[in-house]
Amino acid sequence: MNLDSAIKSSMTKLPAFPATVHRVTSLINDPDSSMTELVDVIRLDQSITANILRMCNSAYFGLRHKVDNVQDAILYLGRQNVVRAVLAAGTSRFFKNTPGYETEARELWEHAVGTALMAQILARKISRRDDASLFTAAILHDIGKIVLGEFVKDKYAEIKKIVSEQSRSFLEAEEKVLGMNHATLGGMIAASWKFPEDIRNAIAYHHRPDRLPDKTATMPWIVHLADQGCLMLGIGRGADGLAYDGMDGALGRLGLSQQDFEEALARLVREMDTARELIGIVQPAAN
Amino acid sequence: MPQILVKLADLAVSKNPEDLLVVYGLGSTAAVILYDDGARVGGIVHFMLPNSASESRRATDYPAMYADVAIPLLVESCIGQGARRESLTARLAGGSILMGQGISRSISEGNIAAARKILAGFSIPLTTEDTGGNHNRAVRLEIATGKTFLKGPNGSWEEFR
Repeated sequence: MNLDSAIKSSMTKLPAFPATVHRVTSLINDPDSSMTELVDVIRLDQSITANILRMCNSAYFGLRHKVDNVQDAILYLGRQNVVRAVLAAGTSRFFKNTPGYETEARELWEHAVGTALMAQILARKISRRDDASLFTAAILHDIGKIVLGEFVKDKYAEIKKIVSEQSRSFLEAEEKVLGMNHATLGGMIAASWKFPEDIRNAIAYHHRPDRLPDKTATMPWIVHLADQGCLMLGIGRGADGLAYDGMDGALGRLGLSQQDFEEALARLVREMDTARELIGIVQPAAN
Repeated sequence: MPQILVKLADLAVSKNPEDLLVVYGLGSTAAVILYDDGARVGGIVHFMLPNSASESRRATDYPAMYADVAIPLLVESCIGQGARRESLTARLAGGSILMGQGISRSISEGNIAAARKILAGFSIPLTTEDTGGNHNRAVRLEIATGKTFLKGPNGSWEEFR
């Protein structure tokens, strides 16, 4: 089997994306949906239900009463927070140790949550609607690493050599050695999980949003900047370090200044402090 | 040996010879390590931005976030634990840069430049520095000896001198 088919075959072995998350997202986006429908869908998934209740009672949401059922959780959290809670609870199961990037599951999960929080902070700054799609794309942006990790590990010396001797980005080195990079692969995983195009593109182009044919899309640029902010602050560290291209003009494209970005970084530190409990509650796979 | 983790935008100072101060996850951020060989007092600050000018409120909440507030606070805290300013020496690590990007470069280089300037202002000699590149770093300081170690791109701890 050649490398390309080996990677694709490994991709098909990923567990299915939890149907509950998709159903909740579509119900939340449907103004005609009822609370009862939402409660019924969430209750079908025991692990998501348990996680939502624990998150709801965590300091992050700061509720005064103990919540012990899904209906109250939705009332207290509000619909958009329910989506975030369901997404976090539903996606954490995919975060495993990624050998090639020398990243532990917890680091990768922390990086995913950090990027999702930073994306929201940036979205608020540019008055973009702070929606569930952006949160989804940001939390899943590195999902390709889960599959690519074992292949990166086998060719690590070769990849590292290209990065250090030819000053190429880790992404280019992956492409050169493996014929595939983790962002493109992430886009393919998102497609196999039936995510809509805007989310797939934001994942696939998070390192190179300039390569996306649709020049009007802002989501890949926000995820790009959010990812970079986390890399700069060392939120979730890997062997790939900061060896990625930062797109010149990314801030300008979103109408942000350097000052805005620095403020967003400062805010992220505080949000990560309050989210730490959240990160701990929804533990990634322990292998 | 009790290991004290110094988080992002935080600092730690100690005179307990059993302590080991550690910073993980230096990206574009930077760490200044101070040590007084005579008093055997040392500390590390892990800051992330050069200048607090526009963010005075956060500079109070997270005093170690900005170099201009963080480093003077570290000097003061070391003196508070018995160090003498004239005996302090400094080491500096961090300031990694994303490839080809203006924002990361100005923050990383700004952090390093600010640290050098502020230390010079205190007349504290900067004996060693390891900055730039595009990899993560970690540093640790043994309070008993003042020995400092750095973990760079090859993943192993090496004495930082």
